[in-house]
Amino acid sequence: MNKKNRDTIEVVELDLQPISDEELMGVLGMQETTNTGCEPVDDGGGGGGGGGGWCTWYCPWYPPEN
Amino acid sequence: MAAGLSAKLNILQQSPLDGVPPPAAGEPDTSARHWVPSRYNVRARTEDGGLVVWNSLTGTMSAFPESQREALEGYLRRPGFVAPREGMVEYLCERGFLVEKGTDEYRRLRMAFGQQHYRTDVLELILLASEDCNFRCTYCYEDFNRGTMEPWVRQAVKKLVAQRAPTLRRLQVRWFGGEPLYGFPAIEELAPYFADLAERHPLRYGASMTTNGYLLTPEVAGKLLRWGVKAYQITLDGPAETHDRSRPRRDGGGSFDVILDNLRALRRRDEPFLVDLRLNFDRSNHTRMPELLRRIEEDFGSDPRFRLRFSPVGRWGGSNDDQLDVCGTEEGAHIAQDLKDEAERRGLKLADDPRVVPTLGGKVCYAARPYNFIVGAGGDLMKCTVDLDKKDRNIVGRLTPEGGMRLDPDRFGLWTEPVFENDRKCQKCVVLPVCQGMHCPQIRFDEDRSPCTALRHGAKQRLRTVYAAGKETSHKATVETRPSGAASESASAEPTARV
Repeated sequence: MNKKNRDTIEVVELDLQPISDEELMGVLGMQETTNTGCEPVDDGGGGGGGGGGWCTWYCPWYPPEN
Repeated sequence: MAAGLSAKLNILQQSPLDGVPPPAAGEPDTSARHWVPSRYNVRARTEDGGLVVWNSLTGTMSAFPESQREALEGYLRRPGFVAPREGMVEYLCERGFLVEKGTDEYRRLRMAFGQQHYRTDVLELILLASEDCNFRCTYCYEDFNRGTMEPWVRQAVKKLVAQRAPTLRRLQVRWFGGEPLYGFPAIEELAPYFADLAERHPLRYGASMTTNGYLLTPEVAGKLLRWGVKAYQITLDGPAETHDRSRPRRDGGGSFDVILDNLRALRRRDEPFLVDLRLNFDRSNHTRMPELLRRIEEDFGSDPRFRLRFSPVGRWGGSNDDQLDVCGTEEGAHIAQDLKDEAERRGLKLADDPRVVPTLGGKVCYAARPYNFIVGAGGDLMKCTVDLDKKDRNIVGRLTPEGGMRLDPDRFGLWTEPVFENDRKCQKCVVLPVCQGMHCPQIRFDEDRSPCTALRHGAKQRLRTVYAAGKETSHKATVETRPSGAASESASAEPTARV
């Protein structure tokens, strides 16, 4: 193996998250399979038709996700 | 050879292949293969000139420096290239950004979906401790037809959970209503039971509560925390004047001061917990929100257990909908952003962590999962906390006194079927692994369209946001940009042959 001939770069791996608030707090957030209920629903990007809106915002509970 | 073996072995008793040495293990496969970019890649250029790539199926997200951007774009361009699996190619394959030509990634997605969706080692219960409420919020869509969860339902829930506990890896209980603390006798009976059960079984247990906070007195909070109810959503609609207008008690009186006193008492506790303060805004109160933020800063500012979430009021199906001064979609987004900015200027913590990378199934509605049930105060099993019992489709079964679930397979299937398999738009979508066509089943029913998550068109911006928020603190990997065996100075990060 000729290490002199190897170039390397540093890649930032953003999916490896630091410890979550829930873990720090001892609060078990385990919503990896459910949504946050806190994003506007996309209307398809076409403008008009469908209407979009905030529908998931009214899911009245929240999961302490991730 | 075969004749020699058969002379020593009785081939009717032992396979002659047993004596053949296995192939040498551990040698890397250096043969050139044809690689193509994953159909689930999303790419975006970062403000500092680099490239961030996310794969919605594997959930990986990597940011490459500007010096490598062009090379990376070369790797991730169709129709692909031929190269051995080593160096950068190895890294990109490992992360799921490259796949071998001919790979059926949609099939892989369906397999991952099945593993996630049909698991039986998870039980999520949304328990309506009371379907009645001590408030009458102007925008509420609920009917308040029942009071506290009936005693036989509590017994049945206990039996259900006890029967399932030995095979569960995860039990999640969410207290909801009505106002859950209005049905405190049900909580007092069930919450300690769950906590005790979780102690006796190797399962991960979590409990949360959506409450208006009026009855969350220090005494009640102490009990709840002891029983493992550690996460709360409590709503404040601006300072006292606007809050009391939109969230009055059922006798018409104000509620703000009592809630704030309870929250202050909660802050004085030492236990770990999380409170998400949901701040509902509309056109009539959003200009008063900074007053509330100032107060929150004074009372809770330095305590990381309190976080903020801004939500626009909507016409959610209540009798007062016509009177609500709701914001339009874009208007609401702008106001929410302004309020978030104001909160951050004051050093307040937001509930939504911008560093969180969307994960497989992360945008699927809870109601779409077969392991998630609402248990009503009278024993109905439901799916959606907005439909509740107002729509027949949402009542998917009944709890039995023995702790069983008598399900209507047609209604249950309506909420939980893998709808993306019949939706061509979903099948072509790059973020399908995340929402699985189930971001909001209710929209699909009512409006007969794909209920897309905002991520569908906003993914690139989301990548930039995640990168900006997490680039300093995230893990750094060192990747070779040329194959380890390459000796030529002209070797580069580029693939060996473009196809």
